Amino acid sequence: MATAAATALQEEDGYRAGWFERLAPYYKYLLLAPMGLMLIGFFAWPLLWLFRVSLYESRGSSGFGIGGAKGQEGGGFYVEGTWTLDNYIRIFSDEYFQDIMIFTVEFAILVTIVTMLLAYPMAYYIYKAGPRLKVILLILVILPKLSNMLVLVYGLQILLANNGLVNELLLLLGIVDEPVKLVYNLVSMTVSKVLLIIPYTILVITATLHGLDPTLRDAAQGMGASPAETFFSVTFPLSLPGTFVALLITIVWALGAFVSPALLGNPDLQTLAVEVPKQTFENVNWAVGSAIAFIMLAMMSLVVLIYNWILSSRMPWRA
Amino acid sequence: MRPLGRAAFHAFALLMVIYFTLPMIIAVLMSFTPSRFLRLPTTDYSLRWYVAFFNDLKWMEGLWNSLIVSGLTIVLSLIVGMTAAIAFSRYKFKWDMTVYTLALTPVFTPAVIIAMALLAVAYKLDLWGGYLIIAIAHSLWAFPLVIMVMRVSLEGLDKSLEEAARGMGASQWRTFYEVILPLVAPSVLVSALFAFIISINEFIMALFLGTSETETLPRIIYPTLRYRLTPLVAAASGILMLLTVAVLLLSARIMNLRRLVEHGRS
Repeated sequence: MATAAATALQEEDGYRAGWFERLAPYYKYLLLAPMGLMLIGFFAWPLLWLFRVSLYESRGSSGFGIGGAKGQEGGGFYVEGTWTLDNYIRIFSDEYFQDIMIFTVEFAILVTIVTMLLAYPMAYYIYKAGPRLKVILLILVILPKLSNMLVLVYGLQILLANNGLVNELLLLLGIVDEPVKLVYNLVSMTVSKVLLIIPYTILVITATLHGLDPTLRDAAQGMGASPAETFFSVTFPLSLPGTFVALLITIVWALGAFVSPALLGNPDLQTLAVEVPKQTFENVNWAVGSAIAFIMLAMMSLVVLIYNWILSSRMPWRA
Repeated sequence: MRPLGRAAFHAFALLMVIYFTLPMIIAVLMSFTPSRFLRLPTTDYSLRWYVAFFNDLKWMEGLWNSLIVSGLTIVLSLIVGMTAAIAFSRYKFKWDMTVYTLALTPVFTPAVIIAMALLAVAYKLDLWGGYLIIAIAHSLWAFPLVIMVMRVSLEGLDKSLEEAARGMGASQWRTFYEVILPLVAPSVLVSALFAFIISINEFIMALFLGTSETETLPRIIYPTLRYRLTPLVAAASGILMLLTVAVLLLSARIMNLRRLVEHGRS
């Protein structure tokens, strides 16, 4: 019976199975082709092209690109066929852009510090929690990442407003006498940016803690170490490699801050990411927009390179 | 840990949970306000802002555009992600770890950079403003997740089932279609839902790559948050939240079902 079915199957497939099977050695390449196309065509090439566009002469803000149909004389968002470093020179010499660059880095550092200080204890709490609470906490942690960031910003705008819940609470507790300005300044920017990044950070650190060998912890405790001693001499040092990955992700995302400064900041507190659409669409200057995006990319690549360099050199916890 | 320290730790976790959930709760609560202003509803709740939303052509078009883009994103990211996941789970090849890491890099690339890079390319390829290029951009964030989900699922399959099918003479294609695919179907659905959630909520890429004709819902919300804050925005946010939560519950249910099936089998 089974043999008959197998023969029938074989016959039914017939020739078609033949040529398909003959491609067998190439299956893996065929299977990777869609991803290759996607990664090269719509990721790698665009990133390279971004650099090329940043080297075009810009038309200046007068070159109103609304009629930017391709090949149309006078239209376009950059001057085709030109090569120049002017855009970068302008960005690095203009005080306006210098301030933005410095602030972007400062803000990224601030956000990273706050995120790490909150994320590690939270991840440790989740690691220590019972199985049921752990699942609930993990869902709550990932929730902000799965919901719309604009919804979060909207909620924060309301919460932090002068007559918002936070101010009412502060007044009620007598911490302040009159409402403090919490929105459209560094406070609201940091609160929102941290909220947008921290789910990733917590998840990576939690995963790291769960990946640790529990026998080491038990051994330390068995030898009479207090929970605190165990944490500082075993768990924490062992979790450092994963924590550094979390740190890397946090810095990269913090450098790309867009929503927080655009919606909860003020004109004095702007980042490179906000400048990209501003230059591209408001000033219709794609070349400068691309140059700024490329500078951001370079900053992030630098962070990744430093990370790799630290990882490859001998660090105490790897000895 | 001393009791005091323990209590402080619990309090910290509680504060964090509030921090994570309160903004969302407030945004959704606001959408039920009967007031014309941003005043949290205390006694009266009203659906007037939802009615306003569904009666406004602009918002409805945005919702429609969002659904089209996320539909396309699901298709694209499933094709790209599933084929790659099969390749990663079935074949050993040189540099497979490097290729895998490279495949995940778009997820960690901030939206502004992807958007700006794709803008110039879309302009060159005459794709600017279309649904397709927005969906491609969203797929860059979605397909790595599909790979991760599908890879775990494919590698967890019982190899003997596949061998049995092959042994009975089924072709590789037939084995995939009739044996493997039904087994991993729940994961396929879960990856599709993840792709949907990413696409329906993303707005920076949609801002760069869309035009007024292909405006997605978040892209309409964005300027209103900047310039004129009305409860209508809360209703729009509420609808986005509702879509997301519905999809999340659905995927949680699917994953649970799978666990039940697995449990029943063993």
